[in-house]
Amino acid sequence: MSAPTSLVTSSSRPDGVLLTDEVDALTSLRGLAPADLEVRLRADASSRRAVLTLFAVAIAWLLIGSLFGELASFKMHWPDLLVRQGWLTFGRVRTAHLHAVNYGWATAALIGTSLWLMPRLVHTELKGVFMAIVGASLFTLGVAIGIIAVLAGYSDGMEWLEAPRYAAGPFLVVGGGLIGLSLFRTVAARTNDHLYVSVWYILGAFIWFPMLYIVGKWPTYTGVESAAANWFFAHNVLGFWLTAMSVGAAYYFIPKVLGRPVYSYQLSVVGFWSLAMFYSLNGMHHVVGGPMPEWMITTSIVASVFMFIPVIATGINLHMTVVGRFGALRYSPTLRFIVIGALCYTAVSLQGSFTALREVNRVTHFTHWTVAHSHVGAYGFVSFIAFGAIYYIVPRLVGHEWPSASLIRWHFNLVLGGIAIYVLSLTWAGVAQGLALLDPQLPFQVSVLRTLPGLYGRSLGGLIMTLGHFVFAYHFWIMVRKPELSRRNRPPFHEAQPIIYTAEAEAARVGKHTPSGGAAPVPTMRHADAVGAPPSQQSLQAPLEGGAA
Amino acid sequence: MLPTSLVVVIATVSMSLAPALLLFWSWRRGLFHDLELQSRMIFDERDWRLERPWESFAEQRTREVLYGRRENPKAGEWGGATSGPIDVDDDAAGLRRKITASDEYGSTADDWRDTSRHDRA
Amino acid sequence: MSADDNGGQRKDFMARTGLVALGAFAVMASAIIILVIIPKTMLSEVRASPELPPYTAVQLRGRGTYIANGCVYCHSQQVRDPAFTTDVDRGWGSRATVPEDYVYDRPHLLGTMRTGPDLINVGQRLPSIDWHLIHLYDPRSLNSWSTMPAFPFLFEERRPEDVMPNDRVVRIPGPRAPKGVVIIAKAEAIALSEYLLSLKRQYPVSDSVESSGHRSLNAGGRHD
Repeated sequence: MSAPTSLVTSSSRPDGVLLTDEVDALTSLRGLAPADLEVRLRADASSRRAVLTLFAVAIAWLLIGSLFGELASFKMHWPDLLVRQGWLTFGRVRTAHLHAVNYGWATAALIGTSLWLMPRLVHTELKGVFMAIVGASLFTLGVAIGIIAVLAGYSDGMEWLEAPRYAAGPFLVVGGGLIGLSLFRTVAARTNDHLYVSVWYILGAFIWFPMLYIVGKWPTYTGVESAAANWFFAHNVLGFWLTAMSVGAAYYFIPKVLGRPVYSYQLSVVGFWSLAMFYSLNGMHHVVGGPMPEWMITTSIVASVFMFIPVIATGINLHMTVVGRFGALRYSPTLRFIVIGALCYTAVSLQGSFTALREVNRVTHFTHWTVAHSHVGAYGFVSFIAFGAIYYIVPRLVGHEWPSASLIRWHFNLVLGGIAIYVLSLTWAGVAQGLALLDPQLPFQVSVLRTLPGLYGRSLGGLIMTLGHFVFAYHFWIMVRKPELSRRNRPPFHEAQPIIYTAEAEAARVGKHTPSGGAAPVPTMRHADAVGAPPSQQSLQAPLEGGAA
Repeated sequence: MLPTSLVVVIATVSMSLAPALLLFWSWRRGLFHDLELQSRMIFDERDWRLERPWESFAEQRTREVLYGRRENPKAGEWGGATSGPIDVDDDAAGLRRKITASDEYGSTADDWRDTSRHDRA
Repeated sequence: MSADDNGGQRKDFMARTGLVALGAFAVMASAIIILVIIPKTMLSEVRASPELPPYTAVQLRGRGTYIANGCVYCHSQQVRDPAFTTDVDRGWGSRATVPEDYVYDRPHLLGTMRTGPDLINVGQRLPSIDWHLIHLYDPRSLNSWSTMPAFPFLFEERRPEDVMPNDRVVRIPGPRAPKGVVIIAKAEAIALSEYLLSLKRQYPVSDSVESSGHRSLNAGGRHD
């Protein structure tokens, strides 16, 4: 079979269809970076233990964090709930929630994803696996110490930085450092000349987070300079830690599942550097109107508006890659989650740019709007991408697919429905609160009473999300511990033999499920998907010849 | 709401001009010449050949012509699970399709959901 | 053909790990200089007004309790410019707060939520320690609409006969008063109330540029 010069009529040329002269270019492209099956399997195998450990830890934190969050939410409209114990007071439970979901769930899930991605991206095995596992354990211990300390009443006082620097800090620093070292060593051992965009983001995250942590935890701030450092850290940990790893993951999974390269790789360069430059100056938009030198706040507002550039660049890349392929969302839970995650990234960033403007900030500052906004980001964007990544990665580590499509559906519907209710209720409550606060004729209690319905809505949304998390956790548990429940476990995942139906086989299959007599369906193997053996010479060398196997 | 103060102007200029110049200079030096290649490095042979049920017949055929015999997706290939009754002989990840027997993969367009209509960007 | 031979051409900018890493570091470092180091240098010259005394030991302990129980997550401590918004009209202060007001605050407690009212001048608005003690024990005994958590663990409940002469008795008004026990404020509750009473930032501040740069720039910079 020789390559035809044209495959389709001139009236339609779907994307992905290439003419002969482009074929040659592609052939040479393939030779540039043959991430062949063997390399990929070795990469996956090397990261397996570290990644599974981190995912298990992450999901445990997700459950813990969800419970703390739900309790905090209940306390906001039922303030006399569980007040007798100091460790359950709202102010401590809220912080425990924030730490558990951001430094526990999101961080662990994204680090796990990065540890899986990096070997794949640089076509080598994960270096320092033991180091990574030890690092992950120490980091988790640090987060746990921080949360326990906060619940016991020991807080360093600044939002996002409450974990006591001398009790929890050493574990966080050493643990995170070990993981970073493992990643850096893996990159250093790379065998190819090209760095995919996800590598920049992951590398960036592990360079930036330590810098942020040092700035945030520096012990000698006083007064409003501590506010500058606080919001420098808190905002940038979102952009340079959580966002960086999440966007890096999205840049990999969306093209990978679709089999279609990112829409414009040049835009990804623009996106990366403009994110780095502008996001880093955003932090003071958390104190608009506050007692800080005006020039700082103005710089942050300008930088926040400039965020349009990286967000639109990344948004174009991630969304345009999917456009025309939305049918894929039916087949891939990974894509479902990650595409929604990418949409939430664009949404939350545009929302943020808008909210930084003084006239808008006047209404939204100090209200629940900010909480809603932060959940669009940390949940709708970051957590959804983490969910999608976990759905993709875990089958490749345990050797079989997820056991239950219906549990995936439940998870997806619950968390999507939950976050929608959450964000809508709380945004509405925030605007109502802000407008009430702006009117000095209205006593303060009006702002409180007007938010109550939204707070109930948030608790409902949160409850639904929490249910979704328990479904997810259960599914993860049976996925890892009960492989026999996976329908396709025979044969194992990476040795699946594809089967083509013949007419008789189909008739027999429809007729009965168990083979009987001569009407037994006979699987006809058209080609073997040989795994472990190097890709067949024929298929590599003769794609244009039709590769008759 | 148009910003007017000097601070804003200086901030805008410093935040945009310097990096833009740097990127432009790098581009002129040819440091971004083979970026497109890098966008393809995450794919291997199998990714190019993999059969994706949401793609139109024309797209599938293109893949086949360019990259070789199409490969079936494994169960759970894209992060999902197979629903439906367990069937030892059925492999494709939750897909229910028939290919009429032939030596080629030359199925007619009817065998495929015609998704070409809503594949326009 | 070797795996990644790009034909002997110069490696792409974005393919050089070292360069990308250096660039990332440099961008973050410059942001730290702009938003943390330079302000820190500028603000280190800010001096407290003579009318603002440093916190006493008790007040500092109370501030520690404020931090430990996360009061900052519902209460702010800043009054914004009256030309910008209605904080002053609402009675939360007679002027906008400036950096000098926070010189003794380590760390800041500016806050980002107003689930509850702003507190930077609460010592002026509500100067009664008994009010604060009652409010901390049970906010709803004073404001039925309040959603503030109660802090009974900062207090003790004693039988009437066990009350000592030095105990700080808190008399809860209204129907929510607990029956048959006497509420005694623990040292933490008293310290916290003392801290709240110390929150007064109404003294006048000079408009000079050295004082903060905040008010003087404010006049020109409002249009952004």
